[in-house]
Amino acid sequence: MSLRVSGGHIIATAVLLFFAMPAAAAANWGEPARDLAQKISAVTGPGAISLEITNRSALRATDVEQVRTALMSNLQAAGVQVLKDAEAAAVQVALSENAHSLVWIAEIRQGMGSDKVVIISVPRPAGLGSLGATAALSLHRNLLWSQEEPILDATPLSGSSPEHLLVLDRDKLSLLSSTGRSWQAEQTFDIAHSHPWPRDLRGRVMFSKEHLFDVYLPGVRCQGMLTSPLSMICRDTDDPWPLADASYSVHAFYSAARNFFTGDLAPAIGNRLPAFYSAAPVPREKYVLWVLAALDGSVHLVDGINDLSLRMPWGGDVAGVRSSCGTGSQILLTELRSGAGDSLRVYEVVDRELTPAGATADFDGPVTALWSKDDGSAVAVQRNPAGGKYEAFSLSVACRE
Amino acid sequence: LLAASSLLGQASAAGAAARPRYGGGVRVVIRDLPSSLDPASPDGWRARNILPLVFECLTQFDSQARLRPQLATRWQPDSENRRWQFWLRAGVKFHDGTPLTAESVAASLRNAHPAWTVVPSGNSVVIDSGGPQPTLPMQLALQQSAVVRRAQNQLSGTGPFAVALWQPGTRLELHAYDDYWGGRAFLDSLSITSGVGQRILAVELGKAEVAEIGPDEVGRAASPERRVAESSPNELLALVFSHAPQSSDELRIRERLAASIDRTSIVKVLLRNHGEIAWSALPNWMTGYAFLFAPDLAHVAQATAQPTPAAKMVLSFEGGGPGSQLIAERVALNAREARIPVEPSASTGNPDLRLVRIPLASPEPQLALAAVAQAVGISIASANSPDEVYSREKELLASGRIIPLAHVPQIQVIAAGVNGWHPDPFGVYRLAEVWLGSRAP
Repeated sequence: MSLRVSGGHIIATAVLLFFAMPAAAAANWGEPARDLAQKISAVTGPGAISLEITNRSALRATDVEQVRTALMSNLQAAGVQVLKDAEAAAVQVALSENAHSLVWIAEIRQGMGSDKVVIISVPRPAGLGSLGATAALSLHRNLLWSQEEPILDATPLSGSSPEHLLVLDRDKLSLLSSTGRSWQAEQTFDIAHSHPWPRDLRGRVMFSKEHLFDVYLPGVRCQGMLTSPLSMICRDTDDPWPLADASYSVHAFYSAARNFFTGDLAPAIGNRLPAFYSAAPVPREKYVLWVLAALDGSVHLVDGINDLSLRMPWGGDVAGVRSSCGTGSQILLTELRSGAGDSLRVYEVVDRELTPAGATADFDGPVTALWSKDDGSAVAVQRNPAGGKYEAFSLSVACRE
Repeated sequence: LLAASSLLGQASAAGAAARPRYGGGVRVVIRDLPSSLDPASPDGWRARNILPLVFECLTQFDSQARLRPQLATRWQPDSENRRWQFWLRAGVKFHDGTPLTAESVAASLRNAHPAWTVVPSGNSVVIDSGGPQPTLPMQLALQQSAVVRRAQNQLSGTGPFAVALWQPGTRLELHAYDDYWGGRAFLDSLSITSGVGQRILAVELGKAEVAEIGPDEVGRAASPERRVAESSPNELLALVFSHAPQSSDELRIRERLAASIDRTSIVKVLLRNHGEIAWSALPNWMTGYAFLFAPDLAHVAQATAQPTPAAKMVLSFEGGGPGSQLIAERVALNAREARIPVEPSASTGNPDLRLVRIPLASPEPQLALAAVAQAVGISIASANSPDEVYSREKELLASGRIIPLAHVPQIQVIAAGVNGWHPDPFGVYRLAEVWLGSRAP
């Protein structure tokens, strides 16, 4: 429902958000924007600058736009003109936060001199989630990568140094390496396929013991090879996709012309299952309970003997995460929020019942992909309604009470 | 329907089960107990998680790092933030039965801060710090500012638990203080011991209900019978040099060493993902700007001048906490790859650098930074704005005296049946709110 949105729906959502935006709310950011503009202009003096704003906090996209508007207006009032390619000074503003307030930072680069940093502290508005908020668990998200093309999956290569990130989109797999503060493209691998992709294309990158990594797409499987430089070979196949990391050894057949798993598993788990969008394992002491997000909006708890169907207001994707809290194994489910983007909610499975664990992560736009990762984390992709970029986030559960 | 009944069941169960029970005792095994319970003692930081059970301050930080009243109910500065007046909570008694008065608070603060002028005034104290001190209310939340009554070689506090037995460095027995101003604790007693080795065993064997554990024990600790609580990353794991760099070459060697260390492996493998990679002294959750300190590694790698040290550097890992030897070996391995010979050593003799865990003393960035600077052995100027704190941190890191590696949390395993455990972002044991349920051991 929330997950399998078409482009038209996304545009409609963005338009709704635009008109729903309260005009008076812009005044909330006027004072801190003026303070920051004054500090910036005190460094740059009057003249032209380029301005880039990055949100590293819980501020919503609409708030960020209001901050941008207020900041540019106040800069202009201080005699500072914001131009796209101004050479006099480049200003990067980060809207960050700490445990009790918002922190807005401007890094100002002028010529070859060293960067100047100005910082202001902004009281956290009521209603904005705070770091360290009291809850049984907390769901941490960390922006990995954003790009114009739809991101199907993103996988940090744990243990590599420098850190690497694999990003999958409809045409290619990109290998990015960390420079400490950002990612830079190191290599790209084209994805060859002989059949047209289905609508709502989905794909997954998974590590492989035999050959560095596998990429699964509808009707296509690619294998990454540990050559120098790395290489990747794709072929048409209906090989089943792994449902979880290699320790579970359960694969599911994916429809080459649709956006779901057919319900056929290898090896089978009990009777034939309904078609489903995604699945996550919940390891128990003597068996594995599988949580399946079915096409009809229900969630199935399957253990090989019983198939329990539940109906709740979720969006359609599920992923498993591991943590050191609670039962040690949690489930993330997408939920549609009224009039806004999707949410991810953390659940625990207690006695075959899904129990909310108190933690959620709200997204500005629709969550278009959600996959578990080998290291116990998960990756979610949202399409940000402001600008339309696709953003991949790493998600992990931390203990709070 | 099943899900709905689950939620309803939870709600009704919560209604029935959420009423706490009085009575019983909890046994806690921690890494370190200090040699003295005096909050102002040099190694008092070892007991920073438990001393607030006994001794309280005029102010305190809540779980979201916001300053809140404790023994003071309100405060007011003069126009220069130099002279502060704190009004005291009424009806508070020390554990020896003596009422808390402005005189007793003034005496305690003068002992903790000899440079201050502290004068009682009715039911308030007036503090003159000698200069503008906008963070003074936050300084009063630090452990060394705890209000202590010193009489006949006995220390007395106002906290929810009073000392019943104290064996320096090994054992602390506490009992609930019936006249506590905030309401008597649910538990009757607490037994806190220091334990080496695998403290999780004490919980597994039913000899303790709470134990501090290392990241390598978390996988074993989580089970239906136990749960794991983790603070915010509130300790800095860092390399600290014994002396300032003597030349620009030595400074460049240290910068290259800092860039060579594979922090990802340290955090993800050696610390089992319990911590965050650190390029800064203070964590991002505290400042919001820690990411500014992440270097451009490509730029560092391109640096042409690469001096090498004349002799190998001895790295002591004695004070690095759990897994410190492995971390020191990883540092040495990375350093060798950068042609910087480093030899890990368990000895504390006369090392060139030490692997240390520095507790971040306060959620307030300026105070936490001052604590780091003190641990490093250099002094920094005070700061009155976020820009200035950032500048001080930048100066500290540029001094070449410290290489941050990771920010690490404190982790506890808690037995089933221990209810009301609210982990504090700073790891303080808020045991006054804990109670034992029906599944208590």
